[in-house]
Amino acid sequence: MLRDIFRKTIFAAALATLGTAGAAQGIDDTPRFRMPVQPSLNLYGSPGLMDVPTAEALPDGQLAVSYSFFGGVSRSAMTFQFSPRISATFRYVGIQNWNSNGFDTYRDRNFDIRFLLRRETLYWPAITVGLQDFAGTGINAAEYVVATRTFDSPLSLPGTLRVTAGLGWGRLGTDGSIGSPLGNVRPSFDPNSKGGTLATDQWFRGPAAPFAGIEWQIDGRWALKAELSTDAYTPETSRGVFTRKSRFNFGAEYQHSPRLRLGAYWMYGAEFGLSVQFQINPAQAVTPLVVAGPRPIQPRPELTTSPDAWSEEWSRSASAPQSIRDALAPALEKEGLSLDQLSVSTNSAELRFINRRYASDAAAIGRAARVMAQQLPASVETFRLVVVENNLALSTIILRRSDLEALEFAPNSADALLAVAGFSEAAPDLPGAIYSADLYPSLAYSIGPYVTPSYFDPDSPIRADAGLSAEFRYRFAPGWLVAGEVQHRLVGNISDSRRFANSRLPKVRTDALRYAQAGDTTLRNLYISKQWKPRADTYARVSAGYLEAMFGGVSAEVLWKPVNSRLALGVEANYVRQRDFEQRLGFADYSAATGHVSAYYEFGGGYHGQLEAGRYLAGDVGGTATVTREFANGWRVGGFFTLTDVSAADFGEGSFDKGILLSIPVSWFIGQPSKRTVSTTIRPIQRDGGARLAVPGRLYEQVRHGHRSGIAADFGRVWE
Amino acid sequence: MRTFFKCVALAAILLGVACTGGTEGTDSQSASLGEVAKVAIAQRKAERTPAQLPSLTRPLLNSLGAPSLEIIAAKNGRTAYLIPLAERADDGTVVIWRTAAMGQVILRDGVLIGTKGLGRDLASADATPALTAVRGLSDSSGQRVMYFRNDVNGINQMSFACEVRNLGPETIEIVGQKFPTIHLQEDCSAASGQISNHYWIDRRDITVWKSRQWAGPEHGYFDIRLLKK
Repeated sequence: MLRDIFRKTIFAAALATLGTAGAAQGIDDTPRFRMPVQPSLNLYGSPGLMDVPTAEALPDGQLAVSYSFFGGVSRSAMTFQFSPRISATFRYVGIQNWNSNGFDTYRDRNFDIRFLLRRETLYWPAITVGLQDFAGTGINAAEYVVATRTFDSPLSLPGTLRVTAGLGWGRLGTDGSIGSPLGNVRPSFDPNSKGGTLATDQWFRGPAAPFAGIEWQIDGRWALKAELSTDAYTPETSRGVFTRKSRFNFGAEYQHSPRLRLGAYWMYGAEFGLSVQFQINPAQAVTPLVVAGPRPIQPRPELTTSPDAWSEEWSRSASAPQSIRDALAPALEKEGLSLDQLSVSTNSAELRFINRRYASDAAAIGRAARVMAQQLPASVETFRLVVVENNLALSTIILRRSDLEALEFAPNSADALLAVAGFSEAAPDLPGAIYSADLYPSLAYSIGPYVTPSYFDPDSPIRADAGLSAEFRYRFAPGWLVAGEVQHRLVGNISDSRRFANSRLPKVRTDALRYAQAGDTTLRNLYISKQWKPRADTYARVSAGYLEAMFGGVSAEVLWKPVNSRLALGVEANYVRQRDFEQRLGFADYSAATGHVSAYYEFGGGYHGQLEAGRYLAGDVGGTATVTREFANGWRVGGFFTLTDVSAADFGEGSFDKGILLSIPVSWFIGQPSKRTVSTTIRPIQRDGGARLAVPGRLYEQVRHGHRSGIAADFGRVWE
Repeated sequence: MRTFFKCVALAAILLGVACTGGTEGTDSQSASLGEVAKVAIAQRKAERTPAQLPSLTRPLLNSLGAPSLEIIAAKNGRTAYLIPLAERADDGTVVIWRTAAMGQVILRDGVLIGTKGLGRDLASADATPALTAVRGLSDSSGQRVMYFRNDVNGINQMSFACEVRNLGPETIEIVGQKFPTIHLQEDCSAASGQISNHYWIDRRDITVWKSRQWAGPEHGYFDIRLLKK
């Protein structure tokens, strides 16, 4: 998936370049929105020099993906700046010519976390404390406190010099130690440990050593780096992976584009190294979104000069609602919206509509309000707009028509309109409404290529299958959905793996290889579902069928989420049976009753938390905690972990289930309105404990974007 | 059904473009991949066949049935011809000019207060100093605030301190026709840079025939000429 995203990004970046080709480059002192300084990465994928870290934080929300190689050591890393001060890194390392402990090439997964203690000020350097590989088996385990100071035009030289000094423990304390200031005992690295637990007993213990380095960013393109590394590379040099002849490392880096940086290094007086660093930020789209302009709102004539236009006579006609609906529906379709229900009275109208085009519901609401202002008689002053998602009326946004007329060209029009917009619950049904005549039945289908990646097989860290996928979604009545997807594999090597499951639990997820080997043509899912609103703030769903690739059965869910609430609560219950490896219509013997109670909370500023407790697929009981950072354009990066009553020994490698969530909106790449997103979940290792059913159409994701905070966050697009 | 099979065949051959149908968009990986590919192909096509610009003459302009506005983006030299989409009285006269692709430029008494359909648009603007000066053909000063759409569905604000000076009368020529104008220069400074807008205003009826106005960090200066009123 990552490779997939990377490829797409490169592709889209190429497009963006095409779009701006020929732009005249001149001296320009016009104002611009200041971009935060983007520090370069070290070979571990964190802000740093080569092997040592620096204290700078990445710009808030930045996602950095990097690859580095030297002396047989390769590191692929993904770092996310979760908040202005906290960043987290996930890394996959491979050390060639290990030739011991049963490995030819030693591979491991690491997690790091960094906290910026102090931002750089006039007198103070930036100071960061970091834990590297804090949870794994500890091949790269290190802790550090590091300070970095920036000097512009140092000694009358061009560019910027960054000077870094720090104190390292663990790996970073193995050469040039000054003693053990915080305790002597540090458990040693164990290549065969199961990992996964927090290694609190080793943090900042054992020998510590001072490291230092400089980075000279000569101009916008080139930079030179030098460092004194305190990493003795004991596990590697003792196994003959490479020979360390010096404590000094040197490098040159080239910023190819704002997103791509390349580096070449001379490491430890013995080895050449290289790195590729790729940094993107959700707030900087690859292609800025372009939406064709709307028709402006035509203000109603003055009541005093045109009293006839304001006549309320029309509302006495029994056919008025139908004729208004027939005028609204085609005008809405032109804007990518579908009329669902309409109720009109003399002074107010409620429009329930489906947003088929815009990632931002606020944009859809703005377009719908324009259509209403264009079509409705002058006496209708109150517009009630309800976005409907698969039969779920999400919320009612109340706008006064005179506000729309007055504010369209006013300064700061988006904030001004938000200030006078009302948000309230939407009743399950609209009494006295007339319905759209042609919403049901509806069929949607899609046929195209698919790529399924599989990561972290020690024999071949990236495997993938590719082929054709065909899917359909058929709606025959409000809230009802019949959907299915068939895949046919044309090429791929996932089934070539020889690593069969060794799980002590029911093999609810670790039989993926057997599924991959069983056949080329598979039924991914085929199910029927119905969803509805029992009450204004409550949502419900039932589904049955082949719900996902490995399980089929029945699923039911209820969600409570008031429109203006940060908190949502949900309950989900499922009874499922494992599917045959062939993934046709048959089932295997294993069945499970699984379900959860969930609490969702929006902390504000794009931070979301989710707690779930319940019974998982393998029958284990426990809870899952998820934290995500989200952006109004649909970007989402997060992490989760699950702890259940399965012991670390029974769980196997990794000790407990955990992973990273990543969603990127398609419109961010293509610059055109689209509701699609590309999502992936990366687990360092997939085991059977803490495994959840992947039931399609969970309610919270369908609902919350249409509630107050989701719409308010998007309001910059309401007039677009 | 034939379309369906064509779709399958095409998808199988190209393995890069998905076929989708129906009112509802599916959120599958293949649909997403297909959408990206489709946009890429369309953009490439558009790049290959740039629009032909007409050569302007006064008789051509006279023959036009509607007012027209010429905008040249100083950043990349791209030219667009716009026609009015709507006009309304709203603190002066607001005219919404549009291109064929529904790109829009919104002028209040000739002063730029918004763009739409261009990307990272100028969402709105408080251009009081310029409006005061244009309407009174006089010097003026005060605060200008510009609001720009960002990539995370929000608005970024940029504030300027502005001074507008009357540079005196100037006769300008637009496609063979001369206009007696007053030349105003608006100098504005923000925390991160400066801009200079220019307006050439008809002494007789306060029409802004020609201007150079800054549309934001994304689009830079627009050179605007009113070809026909």
